[in-house]
Amino acid sequence: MLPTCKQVAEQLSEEIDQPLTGFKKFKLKLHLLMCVYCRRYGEQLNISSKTIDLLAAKNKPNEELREKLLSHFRECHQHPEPRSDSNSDSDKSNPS
Amino acid sequence: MSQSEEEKQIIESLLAGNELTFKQIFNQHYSLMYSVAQSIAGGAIADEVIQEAWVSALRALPKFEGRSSLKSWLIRIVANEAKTRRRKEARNVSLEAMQENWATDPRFDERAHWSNPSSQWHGDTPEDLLLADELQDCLKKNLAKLPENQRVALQMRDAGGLSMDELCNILEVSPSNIRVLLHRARDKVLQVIDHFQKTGEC
Repeated sequence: MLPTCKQVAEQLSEEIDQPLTGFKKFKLKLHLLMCVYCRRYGEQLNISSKTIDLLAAKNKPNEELREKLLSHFRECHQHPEPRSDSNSDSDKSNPS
Repeated sequence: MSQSEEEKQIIESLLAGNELTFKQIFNQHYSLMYSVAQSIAGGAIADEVIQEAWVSALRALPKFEGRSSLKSWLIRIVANEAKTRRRKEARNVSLEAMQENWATDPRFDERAHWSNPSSQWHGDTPEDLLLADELQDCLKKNLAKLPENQRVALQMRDAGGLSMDELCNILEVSPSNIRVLLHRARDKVLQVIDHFQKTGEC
């Protein structure tokens, strides 16, 4: 049995992250062949995803913050802190 | 995941105090760090969160072992820092509630086929769509209203390009839950754009 439009809507989002395979993919394609609304939904979901990317790219780096951190970075290397045994990236908790 | 040669060089360069490398890495990751900080702690303190996150990251850098990518590591630090700074508990909608809303979504009929599909859009690229400043404002407003878990997943994946595995690790949720979070967030963005296309209003 072919998936419903509602199931297809979710599968189209999955396809953005990891393409479906096998029979599931075949049934999705068959549904899309017959359903103009789901084809449109799939295209629009892709556009929506890319729009979020473009919108976020408009966050331009804050120069004042960069300069502040740059002077901190400079200080770190002039007066390095002693190394401790904590804060490894193998620890998934807060590294601070 | 093993550390790439390029990333090893970047880290060595940072550890050696190369300011140019620091500036490049700061610029490269600012946009995603800001989106994640803003998604969790709000725009008013997003830059403070980024500042604290960088201070922590620079302190911890000598111990960075390359078990994740530098980007994923930095984003985890930002997310943790943002969580400690947010003033109130985030509005996280449970997966069950999300599934229930989806089950009763009025855009579908009782056979789960479209009864109220989206309209044909005038612009068909993100660049075309974002020419309208009103739509940009409207999207920002609606993104702010999304449950935090959806918003952060969306920013990390669609704006940041982090892998599904990285999302699972940072957000500590299963792959199937990540798929639900991403679909509901993208679907909301689609509905906001569709409404704007139909009415010209937010």
